[in-house]
Amino acid sequence: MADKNKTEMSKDTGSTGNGTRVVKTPITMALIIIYMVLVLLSGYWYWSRPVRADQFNNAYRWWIGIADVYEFPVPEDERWQ
Amino acid sequence: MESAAGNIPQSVNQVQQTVWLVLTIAIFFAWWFYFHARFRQTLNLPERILAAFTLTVTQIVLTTLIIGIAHHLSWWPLFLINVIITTIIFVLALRTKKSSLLPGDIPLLFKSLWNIIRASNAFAILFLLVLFVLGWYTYLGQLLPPMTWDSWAYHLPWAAFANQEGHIGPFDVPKIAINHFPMNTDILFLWSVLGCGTERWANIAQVPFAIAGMLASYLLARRFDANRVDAAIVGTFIIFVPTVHDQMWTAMVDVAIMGMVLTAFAFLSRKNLDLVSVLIAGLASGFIAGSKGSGIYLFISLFLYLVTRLAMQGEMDWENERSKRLKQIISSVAIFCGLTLILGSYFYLRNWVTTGNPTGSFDVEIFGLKLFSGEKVWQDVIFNPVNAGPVLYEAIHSGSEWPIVFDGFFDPQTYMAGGNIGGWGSTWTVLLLPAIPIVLVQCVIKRNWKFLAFMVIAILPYFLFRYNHTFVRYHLQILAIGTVAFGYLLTNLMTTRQRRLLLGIALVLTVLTVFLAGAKKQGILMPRDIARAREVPYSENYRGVLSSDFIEPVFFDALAQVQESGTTLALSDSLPKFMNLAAWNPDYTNRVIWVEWVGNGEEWVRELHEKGADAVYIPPGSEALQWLMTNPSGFELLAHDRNHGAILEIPD
Repeated sequence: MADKNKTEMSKDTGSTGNGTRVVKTPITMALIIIYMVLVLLSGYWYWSRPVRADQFNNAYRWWIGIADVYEFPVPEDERWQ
Repeated sequence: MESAAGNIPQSVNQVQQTVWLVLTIAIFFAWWFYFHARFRQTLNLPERILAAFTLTVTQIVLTTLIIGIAHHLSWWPLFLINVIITTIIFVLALRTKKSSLLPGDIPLLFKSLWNIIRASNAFAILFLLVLFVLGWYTYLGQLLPPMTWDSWAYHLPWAAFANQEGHIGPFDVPKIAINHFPMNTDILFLWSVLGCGTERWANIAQVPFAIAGMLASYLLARRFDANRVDAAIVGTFIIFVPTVHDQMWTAMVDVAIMGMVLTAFAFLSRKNLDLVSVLIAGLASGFIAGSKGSGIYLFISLFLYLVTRLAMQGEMDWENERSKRLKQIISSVAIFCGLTLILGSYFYLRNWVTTGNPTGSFDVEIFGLKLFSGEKVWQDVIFNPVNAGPVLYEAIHSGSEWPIVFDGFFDPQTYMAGGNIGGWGSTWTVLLLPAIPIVLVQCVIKRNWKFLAFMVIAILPYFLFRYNHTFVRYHLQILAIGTVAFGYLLTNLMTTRQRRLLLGIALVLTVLTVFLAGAKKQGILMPRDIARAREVPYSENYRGVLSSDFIEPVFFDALAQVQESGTTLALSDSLPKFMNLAAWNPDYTNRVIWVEWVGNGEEWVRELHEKGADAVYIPPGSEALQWLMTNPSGFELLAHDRNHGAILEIPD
């Protein structure tokens, strides 16, 4: 059975969803277009929010502080104790 | 109620701790070996791992329940019974023909992972991130003291009382959460406290459940038409949900419940719904039901799914196969419900017997009909998230607050182990949630009723357990609906270019989530806290690392003066901010009892003496404190401030 598993695995892992099974019903296509637009819009929206800069800065300083704890060379004035 | 007098917990030495950890790992490998030897014809590799994990959890919970109910809960009985069971499982596996000593699953696991990594760069990056998140938070969990209030207030105190008293309650403690909540997951915390004399391993007891959640999510995506690579990709998304990776290194129960719900769904979704599938799903369901009150809703959902799957299983000739099929349906339902009852009903039955109400203390209503009366209702006890709930409500009704709600999904300040709306994270919100309606429509177009049944039934508890829709941790199981929908979308509905774009966005959002999780920690867990924890052994940093957000260090110092091994500390009420675990010393070798103020000073002092208390904690502004100010009774004041209350030594 282990052999069978191997066969199934190699058969399946070759597939990466290359679009051969796309179903082009009008409703599905419309929903996919709405979905893609929403995904891209939410990215644009987040990038333009004023809170983003603070979030990035806080997270950056925290991780720099952690790196400092484990004695990685980090810029001292940017670390967060 | 049992008297607490006379039970002094024994300390656990270093050898015992090591042996206990080895035993815990051996239990899992015994079951994995067993499933490899006996079921590799019928179960695939992730199924075998999940089955072994479910049986490991079942063995630990059942043996502890049985010994606990018999009031013989201590290191040796629990150790011996588990060694015997584990040995039997090993022998049963070895007696199987063609079995090998090293489970062939281990090389197969690496090979499978390697094949998927080679097939997809996106998965390779996600897999590295999974390793980082698992490694980092597991490391933090065993390095730091418990980091959530629920752990301090009742999850770990329940384990400490069970360890001290030698049974699983109820205890002589007037606290609903400690005495009446279902405690199946907390038994795993007790496993650490009793076996290793520390809650260090309880802090990370939920990590394997997060891994189980990923595996189950992979299996579900495979079952519902995602290819192997896409199923593996969406499986990893489970751990990148902020509430999951924030909670999995704390002694709470929600990630454990999620892992087991997804495991049950994965087994009930198997093409061949055989006896093993129903057995594993039944055990998972029992674990869930006995872990949290909301587990009942999850059981209802799983039960409906089982019945639906049984009804849908294959084309059949009703005239010829009716009796056979009916037998299968009845026996499957009986096994599933029976196992749920065996593993999940004890705490409810005990509450029913001792209090006349299965929940112990809450109103129980079905369709407006009150079945049991209690002192409390859920809404009063489960606090409303101060921002997410009202903001979401306002957003729905006025439309003006949507930007703030959407901020929440990206805002690391709302990534919490508990459940503000940010706990879902941006990957879920932006990519997975919107995939659900598309796939629902696709299910109808393609007449894929099995898939539709899963999607609809899995989301049912979200609407049944409706007290707080925005409380993320109560609803983690619905993550799998999103991951499965996204997996289907990637494999079946996207062109190569669209798929690449979506995977690129998924990677960006995932990296962003892991990165931003750092910003949340400001003021809660700073790099200096981790630096301090690294400098001393776990048992020594235990009380001091936590910042004053929890308890002032000076109060911990005062508590330490009355926690010598073998001494008894009486609490007249919960410790400040419900930090009840602080009543025990880090090795759990002192005794803690509850002696409430009885309205009469002399009587209360007499009770303290009778129960053998060496010291007592009194909350600020209490009647007991006022009485003692005028009638010191020889008590020596060790610490007192108006925020924390007082700790007093009691004269012999």
